[in-house]
Amino acid sequence: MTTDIERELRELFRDKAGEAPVSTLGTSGAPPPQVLRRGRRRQVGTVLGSALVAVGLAVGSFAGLRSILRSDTDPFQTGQYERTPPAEPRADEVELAGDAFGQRYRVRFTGAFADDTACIHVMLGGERSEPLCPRPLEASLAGTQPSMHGLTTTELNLLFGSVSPEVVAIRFASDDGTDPPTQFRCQMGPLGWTDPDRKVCVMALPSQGSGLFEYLDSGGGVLFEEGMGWGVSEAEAVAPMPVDPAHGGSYWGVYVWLGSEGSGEANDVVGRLFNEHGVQAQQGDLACDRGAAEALGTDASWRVAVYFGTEEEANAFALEAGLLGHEADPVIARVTTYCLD
Amino acid sequence: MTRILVESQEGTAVTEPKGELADLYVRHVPAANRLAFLLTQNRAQAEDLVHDAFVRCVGRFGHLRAHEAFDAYLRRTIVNLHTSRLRRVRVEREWFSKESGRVERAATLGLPDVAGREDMWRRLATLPPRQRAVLVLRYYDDLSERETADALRCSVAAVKSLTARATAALREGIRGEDG
Repeated sequence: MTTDIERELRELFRDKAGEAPVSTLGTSGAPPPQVLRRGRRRQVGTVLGSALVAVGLAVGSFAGLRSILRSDTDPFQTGQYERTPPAEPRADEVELAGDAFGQRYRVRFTGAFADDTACIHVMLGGERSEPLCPRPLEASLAGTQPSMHGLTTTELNLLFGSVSPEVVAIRFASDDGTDPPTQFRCQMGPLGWTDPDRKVCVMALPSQGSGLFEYLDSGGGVLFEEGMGWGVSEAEAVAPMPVDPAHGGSYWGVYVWLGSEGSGEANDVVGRLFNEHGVQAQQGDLACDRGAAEALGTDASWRVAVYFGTEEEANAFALEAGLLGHEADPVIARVTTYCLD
Repeated sequence: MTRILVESQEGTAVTEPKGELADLYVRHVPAANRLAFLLTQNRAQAEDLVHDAFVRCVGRFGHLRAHEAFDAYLRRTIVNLHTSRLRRVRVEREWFSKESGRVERAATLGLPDVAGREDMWRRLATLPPRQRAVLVLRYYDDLSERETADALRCSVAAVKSLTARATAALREGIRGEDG
């Protein structure tokens, strides 16, 4: 199904793509050498970086082994090194809690990486959710990338999970350009919750939205970024979804538009329903829906309708689509659909 | 420096680069340029964007064995670089400082003088970057909702939402002008 605006966009993009820069291929059809040089440098840098990491690990392992074997000589006694203070013992579990968007939330990070029991427990508005224990731990909680999970209610969207210890803040840039209120809490996770240890974070956002999350280091640099969308999208705002009518089937029809055949308005209505509510409406001869004309009290010959299995579903859709509220103008009818064989 | 000009000093004596990298460039960059131009609506920025994305992709690919995945990888990098606010601010600042006072010819070049289409083009520029990206990926690149979600690193629901919001904003603009 293609709406006018989709068609216009396709044509516009096709035309405008012809204006795209072509000079990069140069006069001889060759790619610009500067870009290729940058690419090669980048490749070399990647290889060298990996090699350095490997060498560093090997040297570190060797040094560690050596120090164990020579543990009879304590370097601290020689005055070579300053003794670092012992790390503050951390709790077996860490809890992050707060109030946002009128709801109290508590997120507990429990268990341990070593015995594969690391889990996240969320309590929202007094209700406890099932523990979230994503597996495998190596990839889901202790990977190099941020690992944030979400729980959405009608009041808020709560993100929780783990990030690398370098992350000191998370910035959210909404797709719609607004600056929604957000609440962010982060601290070192429980000792041994992951290996290596990671920070655990909670972020409260409005119940619906989408945008870009930027994970910032202490210098304000962006360590990671990821796009995310949540909540009931506009395109999915209608629940439940309609059924595809079959020949001779009985349904509850929601008649969104009535008129005569050939009107462009019917196409617009079908397009609007698809774009705004994510449903595929049917247009056709009203006489094909036995019982419709009588129930609706109309002499229209053409209809745009959406069909549901139950009256409740039809009512819910009509309410959501803004079709109810006019008692003198009924839009729902129990019908038997034909002309579909 | 992000802007790379083909006609720089080193480019005057062009010798045709050979090799896997050059092949990769020739195979993928023209289409990437078109995508980037639709996203940025600016030739110089599109070129910068594609070059930055290309360099990042080949750096990460290393041995360049997965040619069939390069297209999707390059597309995703272009979209991500485009939607990155920090990068956008930086590029725009550079662009405006270099190009202030110049007339942007590209806006009408090669197109029939269709006022409605130019209006739509201008309206697209006012959309948030990810809304614009979703329209370009869906209606120019013909990606499915799932593929678009992968490119934007978001959920299919977010793609639907972004598409609905973007088309609604465009429609609203048209209605506003008609009314």
